[in-house]
This record gives sequence, C-alpha cells and structure tokens, in this order.
Amino acid sequence: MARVLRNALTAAVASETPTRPGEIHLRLDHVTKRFGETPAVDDISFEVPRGSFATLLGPSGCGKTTTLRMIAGFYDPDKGDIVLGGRRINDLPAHRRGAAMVFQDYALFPHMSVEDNVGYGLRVSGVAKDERDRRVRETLEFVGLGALGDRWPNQLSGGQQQRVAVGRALVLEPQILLLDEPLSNLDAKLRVQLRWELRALQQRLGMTFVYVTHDQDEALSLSDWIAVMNAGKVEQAGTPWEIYYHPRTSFLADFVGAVNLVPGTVREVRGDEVVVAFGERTVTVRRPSGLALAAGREVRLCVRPEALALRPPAADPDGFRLPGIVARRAFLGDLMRYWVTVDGREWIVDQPDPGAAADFDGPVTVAVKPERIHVIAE
Amino acid sequence: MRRQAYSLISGFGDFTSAAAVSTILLALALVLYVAKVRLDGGRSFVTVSGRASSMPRPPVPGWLSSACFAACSVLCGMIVLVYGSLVVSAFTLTFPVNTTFTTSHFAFIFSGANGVALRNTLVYGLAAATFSAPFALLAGWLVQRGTWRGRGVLDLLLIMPAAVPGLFFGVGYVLAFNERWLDWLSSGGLLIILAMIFWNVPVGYQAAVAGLRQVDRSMDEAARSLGASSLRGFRDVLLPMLGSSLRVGFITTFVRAVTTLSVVIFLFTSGTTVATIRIFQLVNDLDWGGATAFTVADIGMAMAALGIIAVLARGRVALGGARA
Repeated sequence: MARVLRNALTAAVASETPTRPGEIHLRLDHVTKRFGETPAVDDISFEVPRGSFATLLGPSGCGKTTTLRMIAGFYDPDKGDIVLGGRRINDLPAHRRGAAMVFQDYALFPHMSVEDNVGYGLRVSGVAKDERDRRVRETLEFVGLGALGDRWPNQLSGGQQQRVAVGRALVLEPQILLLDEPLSNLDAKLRVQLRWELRALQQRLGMTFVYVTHDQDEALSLSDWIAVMNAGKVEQAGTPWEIYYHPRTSFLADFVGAVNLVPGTVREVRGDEVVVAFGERTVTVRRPSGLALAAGREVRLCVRPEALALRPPAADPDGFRLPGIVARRAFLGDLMRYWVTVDGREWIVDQPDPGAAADFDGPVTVAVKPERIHVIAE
Repeated sequence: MRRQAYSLISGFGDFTSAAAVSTILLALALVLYVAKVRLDGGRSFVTVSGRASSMPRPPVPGWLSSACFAACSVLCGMIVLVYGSLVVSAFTLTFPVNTTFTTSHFAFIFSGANGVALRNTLVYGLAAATFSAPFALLAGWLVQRGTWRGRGVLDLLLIMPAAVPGLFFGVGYVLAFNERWLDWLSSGGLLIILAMIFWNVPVGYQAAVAGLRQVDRSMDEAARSLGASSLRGFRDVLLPMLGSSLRVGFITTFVRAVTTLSVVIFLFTSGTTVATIRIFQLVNDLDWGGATAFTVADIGMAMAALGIIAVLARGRVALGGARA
C-alpha cells in the first residue's frame, strides 16, 4: 500500500510538472507585508528549487511564519509577487493554491476520526468514496498509522497527531508542502526522531517542502537550503554549510550555533588573504568572497567553539596559539564547554567526547587554525 | 427609564419624548459597548486548539462543594416557591380562597381564542428560534472570523437589540412597517416573528462569538489549505464545534419568545395573539385561575423545549440569560 502511495505521489508530482535539475519551484519577489505601520516582512526575495527541503529560520517575530502564511494564502502581501510552479499565485485563494500546510498545533479537527481528518481534503475535492477510502488507507499506512484510522485525535500521542497532520496534507498530493514549526510541541527525543522521518519522507517523495522553525539544529539537519530571517528581512540564504561556516552577519553567526565573535581591524589585504589585528595580536586568514575589505576596516573574526582546541599551557600546537585561563566550564554530555579568558575576553571552546579527553583548569593554550576563522564585516 | 418611556406612550401618547428617553438608553448601551470592546480586544480565549488533548477536571474541595450545594438549594427553594404557587393556583378554583382541585382553567385556555394564542406562541417561538440561532451563528462567524471593513458596525448592530427595551422594539416595528402594503406581515404573525428573531439575536450572536473565540483560527485555515472555501470550512469544521452556541441561541430565543410580553404588546392582532398577551388580559380581568393556567402552559412549553434539546444534546444545554 505504502509503495502504491509513494509511486502515485511521485508520479503525480512528476506528471504535472516535469522536474529539471535546479528548476525554481517557488519564488518570492520583493514581497512586503505590513501590519499597521510595522513591516512584518520587508521586501524579501528568494527562490526555492523544486524538490528541495527549504527552511525559513529565525527568532520569534522575524517574519518567517508571516512569509509562510503568505505562501499559503492566509495573508495577502502588500507588495511583491509569489510565484509557484511558474504561476503567480498572489490572487489565488488559499484553497486553490495547491499548497497544503501542516500547522504548529497540527489543527486536527477534533470532531472527526483520524480517517475522516485525512480524507477531508479528498471529500472537499469530490473524490468518490471508494477512491477516497483507498487513498486514506494508503496514506495512513505510509505515515505508519494504518491501525489507528478509527481513533479520535485526542486518543493519539503528539507524534501520532503530527503524522496525521502530515498524512492529511500529503494525501492531496499538493505541489508544495508548508510546515509551520510542526515539531515544536513535541519532547526533545521525539522531535529528533520525527525530524529524520520528515526528511526521509521528503526525499522519498521528491516534493518541495518549505519548513519554518526557530530551531537551528532542526534547520541545519533537515534542510537543503536555509533562509535566515531577522526583523522581516532575509539576512542570508544558502546551504546549511554556508550558513554555519560562512555567515555574512554577526547576527547570523550568533543565531546559528555558539560562536566566538572577536572585533578586529584589517591591517592588510594580500590577494586571497587578509591580515586582521585583534588586541595585541594579528592573524592572517582567508578573505571571504564577495566582501570588499580594505586596511582600517572594522571586522569581526568568527570562529566556532568546536574549531578551537585546548592544550596544556606549555604546548606548541600547529596554527595559532592563544594563552588563556579557564574561567568556567559546563558538561553538556557529548562535549565539555569551556569559557577561557584570553586578553580579557572570553572565548568559548568545545572539547568533544569529554569522557576520553583531558580535563582542563587554570592556565591553558587555545589552539586555532587560521583556516577555521571566518571574517565578517561589521 | 423603561417605565418612564412606557408611561409617556401609554399615558400621553408622546412618542417624541419616549424616543428621547430610549435614545439615552441607547447612548448608555453604546458606552458599555465601547468599554466591552476595549476590555476584551486582542485577548485570546482559545481553548480548542488544533492539538487534541484530554484534560481531567480538577477536584473540587468537599467544603466548597457543600457550600455551593447549600447556596443553590436556597435559590432553588425560592424558585420552586414561586413556580409552585403558580401551579397550585392553576389547579385550584380560586387560589388561595378556594383550593378545590380543578382542571377547568386548562380546559378554558385550550379552547377557542385561547387555544389559538397557545398555538401561536409555540409556532412563533419555534419559528423565531429556528431562524434566529443560525442567523446569529452566521453573523458571529462573519464578524469574528472576517477581515472585512465595517464588521465593527455590524457587531454593534447585532448587540444593540439587547439594550433596547422590548416595548420599544415592538413600537419600532409598528412604526417601521406601518404601511398598507405590508399588512400581510402583521396579519400573518410574521412581524411578531421578525421582532422576536432580531430582539433575540444578541444572545445567540454573543454565544456564537464566544464559541468561535475558543476555536483556534488554525482550524479554519487547515480546512482552507485542504481545499475548502471559507464557507465550506465553516460548515464542515466550525459548525460541528459550535453546537453548544447554536443550542444556546435556539433555546434562549425560544424561551424569551414564548415569555415576552413587551415585544408583542403593540404588534399582535386578534388572530395573532399569544399566551403572554392573554395572560395580561386575564390578569386585568382578575381571572387569576385562567392567567396562572396560561402561565403554567407557557412555562411548560419552555421546559419541554429545554428537555428536548437537553436530550438531543445529551445534557449539554444552557440558557444565555432570559429576560421578559
């Protein structure tokens, strides 16, 4: 049954819109949305490739849910175009957009059984009862709830409710699936489990998913493409790797994971390298592409805690050495986090596998390889 | 002020002064409306979210239970005393002078013009409740879920009848529909039904708005994202969750309709008289036996309607506040 659904969904998506590598499925072009005088979304533009798992990531109030709701058709943009599958959908009502949505609280209809919830969209579309029953059955099998069709939503666990919500959206074979923080109501372990299930589902179906979250781990682990939003604007969009290791702004570097942001000044630019002074020290690092730098420009050195290592004070590791003193530390299970004071500034250093690594206290050496340092313009 | 306005009409036929008095009442109602909007504007009252859960009721302390039971018993006793007197009077010759059992008062009220009045009461009450409750629910949905301009005005208009004394509602309808070509409205009782519908809309409307405010908007949005139009989503998703609001609207409209005197007193004709009018006339004639029998029959209708709805709703029924 599950195979039938999978094939059917894949065939449906493929037959309606032939997939070409890199083809743009969703495009937002200078979209603005205001509530009163306040711009919730301010002139944003981005493109989502067909069949990708795209994530809008940002803190509360950054405009990510507003953006998703504009794509869904629940809000009308004040300016700009939303184009889905080559067609401008600004003027289409929500129920004609071919974009199904999974809500943060699942929005399961409490007076309908699981089967009726999943079959509701098909009933609205006028699908015959036999066909409807068959597709509902297959979808429930597909999301692993084949035996729970006659249950009521309040008889299901949070994870099961989430699967019903996903199944209810998928059974319609939408062009695109919109997910508004669908895992945020679940406990941490289940969240991680369902995260992988969602990713596997998206890859099996080859469907375009647009996912909204404030959880950076979720965004990094699930996505093919991430747009980080702040104050109604897209700060940066790209692959998880680019977002994490090559952030373009301090906000972004700080929002996506722990980071050391050290203020410095450009001393010299030499081809692909740039010499940056910070405190009494200088370091030569790779010049980031697309960033115009000149001597005297204020910058920040951005280095992730896991890119640093602690060594005994007398050690002479490869790369750059920073003598410091351990100010405090925290055991986080899979790693030990140290806060090390170097020249009056605290650096965060993560040591993996604390059970096997040496335990540091007092004077230490912080070792950092210059190629792991990224420069951000102030 | 209602009494003063009534006196101005019934005693002096001074409609202009009565209108001025009722305008003051309306102005007071407007002030209260603005206060209400300011007090509850922007608050969330959602209790039915899209995430299903089963929450057990918290236990009530024994002393609190007993205290509530005692207080309710006193109240019930007072109510039983009043209604009991009516029943006893209806079944006795001339209560309290001659308490010989009789059913003659009931034979009297079920015959001739009295029987017509009782039938009219039932028909008008059912018709008003049948139209008022769904209308109020639909209006509640349009105002509470809509984003169109001017819904605040509709909200005000739908609440206003609650502030208008029933008497003026009736007078207003008489004046507004006092055209020869509209005589068919009053002769068939339609005018009374219309007055009952719109006089009772505020209760059903408020129940609908309260019900809708408890249902998260994600429910409507989920229906729309699954292909349903707004109206279809309302019908399939919201309406089944608003059964209690619909029941409140229906029952309250029916009970208020069959027990109102003030709304119908200027609207009835000889063929469209209702129970409360006949009770008023019998009291004026000092026929207490007939009046109390009519009252018992009228209350019986209301109780029967409550009972039927309670059975249909498996006990989940409440009144939205009745007023004569």
